[in-house]
Amino acid sequence: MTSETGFDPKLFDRFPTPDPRPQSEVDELERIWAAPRGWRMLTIVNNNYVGLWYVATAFLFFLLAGILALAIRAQLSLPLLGILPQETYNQFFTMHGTVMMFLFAVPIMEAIGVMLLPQLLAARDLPFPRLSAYAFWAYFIGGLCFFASIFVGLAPNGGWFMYPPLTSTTYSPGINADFWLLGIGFIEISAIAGAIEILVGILKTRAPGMTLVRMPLFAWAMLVFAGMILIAFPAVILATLLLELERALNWPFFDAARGGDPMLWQHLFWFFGHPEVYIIFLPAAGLVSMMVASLAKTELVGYQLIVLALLATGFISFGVWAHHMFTTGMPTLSVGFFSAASMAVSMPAGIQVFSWIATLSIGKPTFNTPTLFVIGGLVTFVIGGLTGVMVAMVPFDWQAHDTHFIVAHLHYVLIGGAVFPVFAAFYYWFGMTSRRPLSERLGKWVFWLMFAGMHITFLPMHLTGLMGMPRRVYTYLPGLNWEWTNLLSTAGAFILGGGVLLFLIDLARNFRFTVEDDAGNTYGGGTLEWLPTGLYSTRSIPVVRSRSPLWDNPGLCKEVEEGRHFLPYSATGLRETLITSPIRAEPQYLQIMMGPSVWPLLGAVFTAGFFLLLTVQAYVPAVACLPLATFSILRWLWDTDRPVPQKQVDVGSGIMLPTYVTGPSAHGWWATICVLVVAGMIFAMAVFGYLFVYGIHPTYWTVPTERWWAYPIAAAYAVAAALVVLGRRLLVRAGSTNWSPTVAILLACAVIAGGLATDWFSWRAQAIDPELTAQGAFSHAMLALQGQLVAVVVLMGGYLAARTARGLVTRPCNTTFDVVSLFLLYTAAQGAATALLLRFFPAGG
Amino acid sequence: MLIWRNMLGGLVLWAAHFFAVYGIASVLPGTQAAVVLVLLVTGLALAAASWLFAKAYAARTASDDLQRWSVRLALLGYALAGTAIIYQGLPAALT
Repeated sequence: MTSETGFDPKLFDRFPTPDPRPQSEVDELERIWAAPRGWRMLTIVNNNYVGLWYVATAFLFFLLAGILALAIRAQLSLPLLGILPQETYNQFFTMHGTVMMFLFAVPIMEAIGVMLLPQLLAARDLPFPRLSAYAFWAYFIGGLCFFASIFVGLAPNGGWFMYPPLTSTTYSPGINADFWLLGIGFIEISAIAGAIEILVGILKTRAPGMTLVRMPLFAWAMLVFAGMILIAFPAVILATLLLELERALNWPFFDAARGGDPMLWQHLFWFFGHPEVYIIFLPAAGLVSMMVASLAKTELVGYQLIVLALLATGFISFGVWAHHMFTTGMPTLSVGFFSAASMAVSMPAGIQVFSWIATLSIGKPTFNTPTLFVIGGLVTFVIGGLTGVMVAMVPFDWQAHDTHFIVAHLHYVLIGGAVFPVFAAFYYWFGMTSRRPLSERLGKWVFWLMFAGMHITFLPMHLTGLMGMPRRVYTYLPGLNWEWTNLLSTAGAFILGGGVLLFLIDLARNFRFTVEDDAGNTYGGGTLEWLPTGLYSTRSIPVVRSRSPLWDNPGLCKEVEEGRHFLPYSATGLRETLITSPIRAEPQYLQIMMGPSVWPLLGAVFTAGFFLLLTVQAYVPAVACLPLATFSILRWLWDTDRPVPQKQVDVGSGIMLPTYVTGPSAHGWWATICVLVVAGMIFAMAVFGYLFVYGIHPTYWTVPTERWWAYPIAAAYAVAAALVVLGRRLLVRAGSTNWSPTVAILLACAVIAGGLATDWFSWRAQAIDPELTAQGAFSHAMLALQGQLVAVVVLMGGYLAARTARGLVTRPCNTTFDVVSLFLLYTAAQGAATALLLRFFPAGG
Repeated sequence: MLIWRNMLGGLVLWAAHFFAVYGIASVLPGTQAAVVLVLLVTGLALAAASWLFAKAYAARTASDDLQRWSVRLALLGYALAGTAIIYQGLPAALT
């Protein structure tokens, strides 16, 4: 058999070991993984707790946004009603869309991932538990503060996509739009943190033997989901940054009168916004693929085709962003490409739908609550998909654009593709976290109320739209024939709300949180999350030999409980998990994991404080929060990257693994690459914006003089990169002193800072004013982006020096050193690219 | 690396074709040159998909389960990419 890492796969035959392990090992695991009590619970980082808090918070936002929807529907139930004044209505529909998309739909998927993945992969926890905690707290605090803006009339009011010029200071002079721009920008950072955790977790912490062929489909879906977040979300982060800069500093990125272009916002927003729909749908599809097999009591039909469909959706969804812009006058040929891609994206979705139908038809499903939600979701999603193909046809889209037809379409897709699957998942996996399962009897009521309510709300809305009712209007005149369909939609919304209310009652009656004595595998699932678990996940980490290990080996639960697989104890006396290879899941090393800490919480509090105080223009306390946030994050990192005395440990049956690894095998290396992908995408989007506005308004651009400055600046960055490489070599060399590698890095930091300073001052001498033209705005924004990276580089240099001073930089290899080196190399490359782009584009002169 | 290539090759090819034709149509809007270039790029992308498909087909009797699985995925991926590339080229062919 082929090996990926040199690990001999025959060693897997040693498991299960013949004899049960002693109970004392379980006692030690329980002691090590015990959760703090009282107020110290806030320092918990374990996925069982953080995942649950995450799910609960996301569900809270679903309820809050749902209440806003009911108010919106009440206002539209009859013509000329005055339940919501116009301005309040604008805030309500903006917050409904924003909260549903940014604070419910994506976070609930990440939350389910954080909660479920460690158990599904039989890892002790995800690889960066403190990052999970930070992502959760940032989301919780930022989300609640953002939502609170509605109580003081300061909520955003420009629609969930915040198109300029409506959101420019001319038309939105208050701070409402700033709440959206800074709040959402901040919450997206939290989403990216969660995505990195999930991506690295899936690739590096799977149970031994869980090759890509045996990986559960939810893990596949979450892998694609996390990858898509890293590619898509930087676009909206950049867009929010640019619009905020335009509002705060009068830099005209989107102002056509000064060479900017409002269409740029639409491109950046929808480059994120359309993949966002699939970012929401794919994890839900993964959940359905998992549930449908168990509920139909058979193997899933078309596993491989579904994997292909997930990957294909991940790619094709990035080629459909402009189908939201068919009415903006794009070139005809471009419109044709986007129309074709929009229809093509229905192929992979269709593959999944047919696989689920085939599985249900060959299996023996019982029509219990999760099955009803799965089938209800399927029906609803297919209807939404069909209207999606309709609006992919350009002439039809021209008619339906910005009408209630689109509102109906998107709700069919999102409720059918995500909300119903999530409710099915609540019922299906409820037994993992609660002593009592949810009520089947009430559950069926919940389903039928929600299903009927959903269709009564949105089916007539297609007609309302086709009869010409535009979106985002707070009322309408009588006599337009919109009364009955609107009244029906409102009745349906309240029926749907009744279903959700009944679910809450069921939840209150039956939810009793537990980790150990849960209700268990109510629906007979065959994957690893149904192994008996504690806070340490499974007692021992099983060797996986099939896709449904619990079905194929009914004795597996007992073997795992008796400790007859990998790592039945704590090998080092610390929290730890197995790190395996990305493709074949061969054991590579033992990761030492971080325990509870208050620093992720404080880091999140101060980061949120910085963004939110900035929004309300409390500049002094906002600026004060920044060093506090930085200190908290560095303090949390300070505890990490500490090798243990045992260089190698027995992870079971005499198999020895190292406890410290660096380079491409290390989980930290993978996470750093993810961060650099995000930084690279932000830069790529900035370059796109720079070229885009030039292409639209070239007459506003001037050819830079003194282009020769690009050469010394690029040379400085090249020198910095060479110093980084030298530092890395010195770290390995035994003859060098402890400080030599770090000094090389510090010199590199200084050269990078010098490169930026030279770039900035030589560019300022060009007198291309950032307030006068988009060229000036973009060039200064790109230098500011480089400035942010350089600030991080300087911070990293100081941090590395501090660790060197305390003897924490290990030789001949060190993860912190590698992370800093990778970041410096990227910063040097981006700096050189910026200098060259600004000076040699536009060409001429 | 081979397995990553098998899994993502077809889709990367499709994405490269999409962004190339979008770029051409944006830089040369409304011109005959754009149509010709798009058709040329589409032909090249199809040729690449066919060549990669043939290469993957030759490796279909790989040594272990995972590799055979990844080759099957590659074949499906190249077929899907080929279909999508033809579809994507149609707006130019029909102009």
